[in-house]
Amino acid sequence: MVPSNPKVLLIIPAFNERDNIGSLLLSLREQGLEALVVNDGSTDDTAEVCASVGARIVTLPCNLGIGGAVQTGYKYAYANGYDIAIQFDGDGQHRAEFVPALIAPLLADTADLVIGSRYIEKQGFQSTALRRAGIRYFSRLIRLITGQTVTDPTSGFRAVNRRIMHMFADQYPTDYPEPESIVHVLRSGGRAVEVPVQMSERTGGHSSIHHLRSVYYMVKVSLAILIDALRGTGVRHS
Amino acid sequence: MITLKLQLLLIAFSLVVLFVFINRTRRYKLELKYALVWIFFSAAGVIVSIFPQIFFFIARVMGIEVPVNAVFLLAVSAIFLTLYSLTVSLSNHSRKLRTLTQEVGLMQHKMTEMQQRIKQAEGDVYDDPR
Repeated sequence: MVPSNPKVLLIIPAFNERDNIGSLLLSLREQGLEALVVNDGSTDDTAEVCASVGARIVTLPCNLGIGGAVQTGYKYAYANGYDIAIQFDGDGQHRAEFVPALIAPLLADTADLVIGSRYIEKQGFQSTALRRAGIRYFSRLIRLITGQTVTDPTSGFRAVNRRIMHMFADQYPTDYPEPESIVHVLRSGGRAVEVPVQMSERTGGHSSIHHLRSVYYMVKVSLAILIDALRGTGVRHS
Repeated sequence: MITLKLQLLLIAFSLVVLFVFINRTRRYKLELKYALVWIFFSAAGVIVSIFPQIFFFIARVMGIEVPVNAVFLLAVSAIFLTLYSLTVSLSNHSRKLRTLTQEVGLMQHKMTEMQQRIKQAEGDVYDDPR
């Protein structure tokens, strides 16, 4: 159960995000949101920019990739007694005004994982056609395996309660974690729901997925999902 | 048949590998845990090349016409198993390294926080007008 006055933490993974992160952190503070930046071994002055606006920041000594960075945030949130942890991109794609909608199902205890989806109301930035095709493919694959429809499985704008926080702190995929971790949650009997959100086009930096890497991405994530499905309910991480 | 030349070559090669791995382990350059699979396979290599009848037997059992092919088959299998054990330990290490990296980051954060708190507390003491 989530208490009536929950402690909420935004986990912001950041790798070389100096251009956006400062203004993002200030706007989050104005809205009264607590945030933790996980600086994933940035080579620019992301850490200094965060410190200059007085943000809470965990700097990893070397680059772990998005999954390892986000997992650090889940570990922090779990150890520090937060009731809700929200994944929030540092590149300006995600919009804080949707945070209340995102956590509403957790507060009502109707979900353990809430995914902010661009494709329910189909408003805001919709990504390129090629990427949408990839997202639809993952959506179908997940439905095939879990029986549940997730319209935006690659969305990195997600909120979890303590139960899933604990699970993610324990085991979280290293790279390209979003679709695989949804299957993990569903396999473990967690409830995943989607709420409509709008996203913006990223304002700086560049997406970690492009060109030849997208082929690797498709193959790797597909395999990860299929292998995760094979784990059943019995397999736990050491 | 296996020629005497090949047999001697196999014996020499296996002995060299065996020696290198035992010696490196002796000098603490290799962990026995990871050298073990090499030591085991090169020792097996020495034995089967001294007694090539084993190859003939294996070739007959597996329906391989030329016994020398059994030599290659076994060598490739040994390499496969060695690589497998390496992949396993590499995966273990990458998991441990990730956990460590996260832990270092979190601890550093905690330390910075504590330093600030100490500084603040000291400042409070000095600033106290009484």
